[in-house]
Amino acid sequence: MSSFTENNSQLCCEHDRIMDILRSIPHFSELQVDSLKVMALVCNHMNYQPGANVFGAGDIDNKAYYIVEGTAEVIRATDQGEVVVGAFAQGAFIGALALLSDVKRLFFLRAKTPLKCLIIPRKKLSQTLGQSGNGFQVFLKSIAASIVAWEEVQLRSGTSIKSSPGGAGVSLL
Amino acid sequence: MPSTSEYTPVTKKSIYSWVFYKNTHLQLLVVGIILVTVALRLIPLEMSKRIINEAVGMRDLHRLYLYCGIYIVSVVLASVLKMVINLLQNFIGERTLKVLRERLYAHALSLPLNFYRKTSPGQVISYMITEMIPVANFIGSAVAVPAVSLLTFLAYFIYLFYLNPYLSLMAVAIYTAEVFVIPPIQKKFNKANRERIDNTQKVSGIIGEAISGVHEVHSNASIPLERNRYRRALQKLYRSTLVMNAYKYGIKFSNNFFQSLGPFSLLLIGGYLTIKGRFDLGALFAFQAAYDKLYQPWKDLMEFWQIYIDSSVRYKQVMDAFDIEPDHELEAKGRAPYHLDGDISVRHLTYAVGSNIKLLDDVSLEIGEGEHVALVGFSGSGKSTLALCIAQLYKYTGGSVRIGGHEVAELSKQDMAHNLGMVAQHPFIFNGTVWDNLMYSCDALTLQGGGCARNGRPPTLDKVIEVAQQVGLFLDVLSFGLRSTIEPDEYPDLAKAIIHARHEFKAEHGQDLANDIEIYTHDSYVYYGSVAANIITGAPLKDNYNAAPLHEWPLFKDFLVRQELMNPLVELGTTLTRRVVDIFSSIGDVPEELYKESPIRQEDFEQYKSIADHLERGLKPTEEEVALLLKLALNCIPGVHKLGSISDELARMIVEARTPFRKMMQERDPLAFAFLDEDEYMRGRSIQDNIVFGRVKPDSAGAEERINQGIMQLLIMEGVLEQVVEMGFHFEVGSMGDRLSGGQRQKIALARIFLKTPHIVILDEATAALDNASQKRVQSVITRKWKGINTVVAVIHRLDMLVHYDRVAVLKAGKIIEQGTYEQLIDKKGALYELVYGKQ
Ligand SMILES: Nc1ncnc2c1ncn2[C@@H]1O[C@H](COP(=O)(O)OP(=O)(O)O)[C@@H](O)[C@H]1O
Ligand SMILES: [Mg+2]
Repeated sequence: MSSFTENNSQLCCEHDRIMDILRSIPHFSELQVDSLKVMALVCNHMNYQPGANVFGAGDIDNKAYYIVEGTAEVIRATDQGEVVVGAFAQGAFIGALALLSDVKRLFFLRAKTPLKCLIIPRKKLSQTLGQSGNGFQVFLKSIAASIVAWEEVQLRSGTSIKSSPGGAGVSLL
Repeated sequence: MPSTSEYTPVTKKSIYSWVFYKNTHLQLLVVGIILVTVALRLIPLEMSKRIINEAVGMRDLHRLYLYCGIYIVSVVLASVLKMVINLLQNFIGERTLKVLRERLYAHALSLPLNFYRKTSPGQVISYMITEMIPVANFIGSAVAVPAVSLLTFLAYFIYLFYLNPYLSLMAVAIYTAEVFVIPPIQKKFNKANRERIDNTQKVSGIIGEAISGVHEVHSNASIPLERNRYRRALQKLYRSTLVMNAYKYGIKFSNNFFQSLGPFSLLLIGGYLTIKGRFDLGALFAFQAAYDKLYQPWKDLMEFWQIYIDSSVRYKQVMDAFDIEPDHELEAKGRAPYHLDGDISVRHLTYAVGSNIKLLDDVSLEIGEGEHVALVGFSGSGKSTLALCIAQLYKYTGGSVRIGGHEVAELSKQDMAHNLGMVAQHPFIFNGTVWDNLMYSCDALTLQGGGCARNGRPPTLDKVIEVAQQVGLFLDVLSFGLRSTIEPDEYPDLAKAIIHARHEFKAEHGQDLANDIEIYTHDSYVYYGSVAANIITGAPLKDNYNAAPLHEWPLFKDFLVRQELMNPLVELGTTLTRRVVDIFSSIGDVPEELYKESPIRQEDFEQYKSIADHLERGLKPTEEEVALLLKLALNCIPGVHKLGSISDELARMIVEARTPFRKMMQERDPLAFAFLDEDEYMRGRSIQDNIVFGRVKPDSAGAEERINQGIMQLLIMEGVLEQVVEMGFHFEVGSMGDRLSGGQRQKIALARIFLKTPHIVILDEATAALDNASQKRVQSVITRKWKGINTVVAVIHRLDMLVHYDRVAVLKAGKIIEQGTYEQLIDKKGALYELVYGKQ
């Protein structure tokens, strides 16, 4: 059952697999390979059984998630019960804001199928990247950039600005 | 705690006061011994004079022996006494250092919180540790050194004078000349030295800059340009070093010159006088000896002056830094601590900092005994500040806070400790066990003459377990307990119960928890175990197997060779070394955190780095290096160390080696190892591992809780739950509690206050780090236990908790903008309504 039995090449190990994932995430594309290698050391895989929460509404979170396998649902708890408001599938990178600072989760993220995530923890990340040159700065920059880029895409695709927080763009926060 | 005789605050005492502080009789003793010593030091001089004049001159053997005898006795005695002086001096210094550090520490801890907003812990540590060492040195030697030096100098001088007044005046003249000549050269030397240091820095700067920008240098082909820049700076450094050294040797020369000028003039004039018969040979000899000896006390005195200047500057700096009065009395003086009623009255409270920035502005709030009041508002609105003012942690600058009719500013810390307890927004956990931390408030109260239980005794285990359940810490403590390892021989009953529970666990949960556990079996590789553990599948029973590292054990190495495991393992070690060194070398300062992810331990890193270096250069590893590579491979746990990987082929070979290894050991030393056996306790593994007979997968979300729930039931049935939980309470939390999660730290802080159950409870976002369910549970305990009995002031961040409170006060920018019951404020549709439902 263990993921370690998939080894075929001698050079391949957990660290290489995590490196591959991190390099595929646009937020980290500007990081130097050396920083990524360090980062890969502190990230971990986690398996969730269907129905298990990755995080819950109201949780104060400091981790970001990348879906390696399976799908997860985004659920909002309302007075009328739980409402599914979205879903993430393999390849989704979720919750990068928590890498800047503790973030209150407003949704539940729940495994719909057996789910495997890569967890990127802020605390360890800042401890390790903080020490290696400007690694962390680059990373902060890319998160800010990704927020703006996200809104740009929304605007181009014609999503109404009225639904944005405060009645204006999220990049104006 | 200062006793009555020590009322002057430590920071107001002068450095001199310590010289005689509780040391007067010792210092007098020192002076007495010094007088004797100095007298003793003159005897050898006189004796040598007499030996030459009376014994040698008169060819009197008898006298020769007598004078030599006196000579040696006085020399030995003087040295012994000098040692006694040194010991006493050291004793006085160190003892005073201890007192100083103790008093300074107590004073530092009593200073207001605001002091530490500006002073870092590192600063305080350096003040208390390093800065005090020269001070203690000075205090110890403050009497002894000047006394010894001056008296010795004086004694020799008088002796010289007695031998020959003119010659003695000449000797002193030479010393005086030295004082005028050497310092100016010294000054020039210092200046040259500074210049040299400047130039060194410039040269270093140029190197650093050029290396950092080496890509620019290459792309401009500017090596000659950079070389010129460097050469100019180097030239300056070269010159200034030459000049500095010239002065240095100048000083040396003058020193030597004056040193030999003395004897020279002495020999010339003394010799002349002796030849003329106005001076005898013995006296000349004694004079020469005494003259030499003048130098040492002179030098000592100069050094002492330096120490004095240095340490008095340091002392003043340290004392000035701490020269602040504590905001509040520490103890209730001349009375028992008050038992305060639980009503709190806050009137026109103002707390201003800096240039009159009002963090609290005219705040008024009346709280009745047993009432529960919530403080809400945006972050930065002053909620914590208000809580801290009520709890006496901040000294408010205006208005009043009364608890049970007493003004808080006038109460002592002891009064507060007896009546009030607080959970801070970021509770602090100290190094030690969970138990120590839970007892922290109770222990402190006991030392202040109070106690947590009614009979003044510490809370019982049952009580602590009850509280742990209330705050939701119980499962955490249980899991700490399950993580501990026991010696089955020490706890035979527990071990038996655990083995029994193991079978039950398999029967009951084997199916549903299969995904959460990696079970130990004889024929599959365990990825959460080390390579070595996978081969041995057991634990050594005999100490000599424990002590000998496997990679150095010839029998084991032969075994690996026979199993054809040696080469693949060394190769694995090589790969690991290369990868770890590659990553870690790219970061300057590898944080400790990262070493947890690597099979190479921090202390071994340099060794492996040099191995990687050799490998990189294509060198064949030495035998020693091969052993280290093997060690690394044996310690590799692929499930933990992301850089390690075991190919399926290698895993299969390792599993196949298990049976031969067992066979080999059973033939050689049948009692050496306890091998994996479903009916035996596994030594060296945690209780949890023993029950699940495997390893809980760390990458399975929620696995630990699910399993521990199951285990808990079994432990209850076995009747050993309490024992395991007790072990959990002895879990070491690490420095600042860094082995605990934020939630666990907060639960411990809550449990502290539940154990203490003070009359007045202040909670500052005390449940913010807990999950939803725990928050609700803790809140319901607070309401159920304390409503109407204990006054509670709680800063609340989760607005759905507000319904549990009698009253709500909403803060904004340091003011209370509305207060009332939850319903009133919601109906009013004011600030609270906006907080709860957002702007409409
Ligand atoms: N001793 C102090 N000196 C200066 N500023 C302070 C001090 N204590 C608190 N502050 C500042 O006062 C404001 C209110 O702080 P606080 O009472 O902690 O807010 P809240 O608990 O409501 O989030 C914050 O901006 C904080 O930085
Ligand atoms: Mg606060």
